[in-house]
Amino acid sequence: MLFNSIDFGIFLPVVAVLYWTVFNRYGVRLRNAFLLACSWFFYGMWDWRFLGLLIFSSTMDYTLGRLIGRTDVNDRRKRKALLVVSLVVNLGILGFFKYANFFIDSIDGLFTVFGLELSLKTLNIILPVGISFYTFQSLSYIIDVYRGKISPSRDIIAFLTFISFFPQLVAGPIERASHLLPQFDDLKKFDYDRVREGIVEVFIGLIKKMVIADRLAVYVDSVFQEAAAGSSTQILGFPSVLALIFFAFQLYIDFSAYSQIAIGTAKILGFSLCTNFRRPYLSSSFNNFWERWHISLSQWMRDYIFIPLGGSREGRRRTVRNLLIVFAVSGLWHGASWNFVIWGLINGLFVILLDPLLARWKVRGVLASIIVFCLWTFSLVFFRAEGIDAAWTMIRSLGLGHIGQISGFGLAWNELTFTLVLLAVLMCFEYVVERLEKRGENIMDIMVFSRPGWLRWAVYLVLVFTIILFGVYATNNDNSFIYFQF
Amino acid sequence: MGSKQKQQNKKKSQEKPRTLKSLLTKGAVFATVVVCLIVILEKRQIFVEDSMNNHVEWKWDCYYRMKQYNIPIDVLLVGNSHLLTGFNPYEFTKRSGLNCFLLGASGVGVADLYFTIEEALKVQKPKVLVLETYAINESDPLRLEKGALNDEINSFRARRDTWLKVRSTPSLFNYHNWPIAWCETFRNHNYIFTKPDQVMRNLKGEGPKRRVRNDMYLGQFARFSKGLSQTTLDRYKDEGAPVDGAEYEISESSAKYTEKIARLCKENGVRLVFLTIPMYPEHVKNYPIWQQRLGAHLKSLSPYWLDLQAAQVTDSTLRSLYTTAAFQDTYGANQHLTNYGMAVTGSVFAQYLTHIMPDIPDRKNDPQWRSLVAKFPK
Repeated sequence: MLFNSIDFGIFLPVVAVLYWTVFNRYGVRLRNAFLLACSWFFYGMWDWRFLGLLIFSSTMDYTLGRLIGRTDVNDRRKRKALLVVSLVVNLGILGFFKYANFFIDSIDGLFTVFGLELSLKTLNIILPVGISFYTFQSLSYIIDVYRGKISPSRDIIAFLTFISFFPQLVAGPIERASHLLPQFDDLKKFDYDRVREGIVEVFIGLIKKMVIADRLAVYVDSVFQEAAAGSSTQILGFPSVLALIFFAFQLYIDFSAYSQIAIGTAKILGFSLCTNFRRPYLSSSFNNFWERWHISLSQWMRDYIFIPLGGSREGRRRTVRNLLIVFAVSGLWHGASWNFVIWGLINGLFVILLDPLLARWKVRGVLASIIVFCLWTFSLVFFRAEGIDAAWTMIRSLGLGHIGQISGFGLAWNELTFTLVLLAVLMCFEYVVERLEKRGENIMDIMVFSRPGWLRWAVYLVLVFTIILFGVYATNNDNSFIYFQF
Repeated sequence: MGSKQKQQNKKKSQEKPRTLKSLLTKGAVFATVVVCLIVILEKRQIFVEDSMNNHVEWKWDCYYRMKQYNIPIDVLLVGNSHLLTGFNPYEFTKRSGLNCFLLGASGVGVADLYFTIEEALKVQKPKVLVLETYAINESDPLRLEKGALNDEINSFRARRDTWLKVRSTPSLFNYHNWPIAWCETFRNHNYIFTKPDQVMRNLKGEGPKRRVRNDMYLGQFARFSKGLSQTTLDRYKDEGAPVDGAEYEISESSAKYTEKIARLCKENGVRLVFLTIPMYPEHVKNYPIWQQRLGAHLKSLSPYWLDLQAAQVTDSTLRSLYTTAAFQDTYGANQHLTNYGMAVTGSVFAQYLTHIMPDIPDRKNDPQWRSLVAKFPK
């Protein structure tokens, strides 16, 4: 079930009303069981067959967590063995569904380089939606239990709900057990302001997704399709530059919209999810960028890969190696293709090589943000293009000529202008939010919630009618979120 | 207690309760406001395009007008573009002495036609209902999305019986398409970008323009005047037929609604006849397979089926009538008839119907019929 679908428009209000009027009143276990049933229904609406996989993987981690908890702290071998079982099974499932064809193709390609034709057949596998997200969430739990950072959950319903919690099940944020799991331990008190805030966040997320991101997608898809077809003569020059810039915004707006709707939905139910994006396009360095972009994944990579590898404590060479490993893994996490690995490595190199230069040359403020944005956008050629050849075609076609041809890629002039104005407004808005946040103020409080009732209602109506009148809505699942594929 | 604190307490006690109930009440009021605003946009037709050529609406206008003028319809024909561009109702009426009318819409399947017939039978009951078989195909309206739904929506919106429309919605549209089926604001909101002039004119109250027809429009849609060219005939020779009868399938939905049409006719005492309007013989290969599959389905529903696709090959008279001038010049999957072809079909079907149903009295001596025919386009 997609957040931007009629299904969810019916599902969420029904769940929220039942939740607050019935299930959150008569006991934690009943409430959690209700949320679990809703979450499984939410996931099953996509494909019931893969629900079994989710249940298996989370039940296994619950059991292994309990076993690790029961094992004597000094029995390191047994604890490690249990951890390894979890890692092997979880990563095995993820590897099979997500990476089997990638490995087959890569081995095939490798042998071809040496003149040997293996002609291995790829498997017909469907990637279960959200598998990368819930696998990482589950892994963080088991590793934290192993490390003794948290005690294992004793309540299987609460644990399964923690892994399957529908607002963040399919595209994050990747929650830590220490933050989300305890929230399933008590009944929630209805907080009018919080629920209202959650509803507004959901609507803002929907505007970002349906009005901006999906409109950008029309242009981006059109240009990249031509690039994939190799017709670089038609898209030569400025249209491809614009498409790339649009994609940078599309990716950010699409994914941050999903996170915002997830956070808003959780708020409506009285839960709090971690922040996943903090205005990344205002970053002053690449390091700063990764502290603001997909924060839950960056922190996961830091805590479970970078630091165990030694982090930055063992000299410059080790740090560089560790960073490159983390970024390569992060690339691979995003997609089973060499494109993503290259994308990850390029970003790793930006952190390693360019951040020290920016610091040495004292580049700060808007100029630093522009440099970071431009280079990040360039790296996205590999993220978006379907295959390395298409990426090269796209890079070759980049240029500043043919400015007059920028319309004609699915968006008429007026729609293109509207989109550019929206992007400008969004960036100004983000800048203001950044400034206010530094002063400890919340823009929504200032602009909406502290205003008189009639003005609040006017704002709510504007939000709803912006979606109705300016939204790009597909009738089926055509406009799913970009990060669903990961 | 100081006066300031008293004031604060008073203010607090006057504050509206911030409970779940108050949130739900406000939510309900807000939703009502949103719905009302959408209804206003709909009533003012802000997102409706000028309609200068809406044949489906014209058909229903005239169909209801015939009831108003007490003009009985003896033969009601329903179908999609194959019927509307393949049958001349004026020719049929003049030849048979029976009043006829064509209903239906381009591109629709038999599920939509079922509800068209249901509404039509509520207005008046013909003696014979003719269903053109091209609409009995593999389509299922519940699986259609986006642009493919346009024809279905146009037909749906042109119907007048609101309750029947409500009842037919779940059968014709997947639930996520209900808003675009019912509401032009949802369907055409992108006119803001694609047709801003239209939206501005509608906002000023100067649109949308609608061309109304008050003549005796019996539903035909004469589109093609040019018959098959030598180039297309050469393509048949070089590339073979573009349509393969072996690929013909009847979807569950089509089967179900054809049966429902048969039942509806039976309940209303209307005789059901199937009619297959032809394509050029070399346009379709393996037609016997198509014919066999369709025949197996139609057999139990009605004893009457005039299959002109087959008959034009086996019958020498028909062969001489359905010349290359009768067929639209196209190599595409849908081949329609030309104006000449329409007249042939109208005339041939008049002969067929009077032959198989001689008990239906013709109206050739009825002055009302004569005055009606006098109004026909020349």
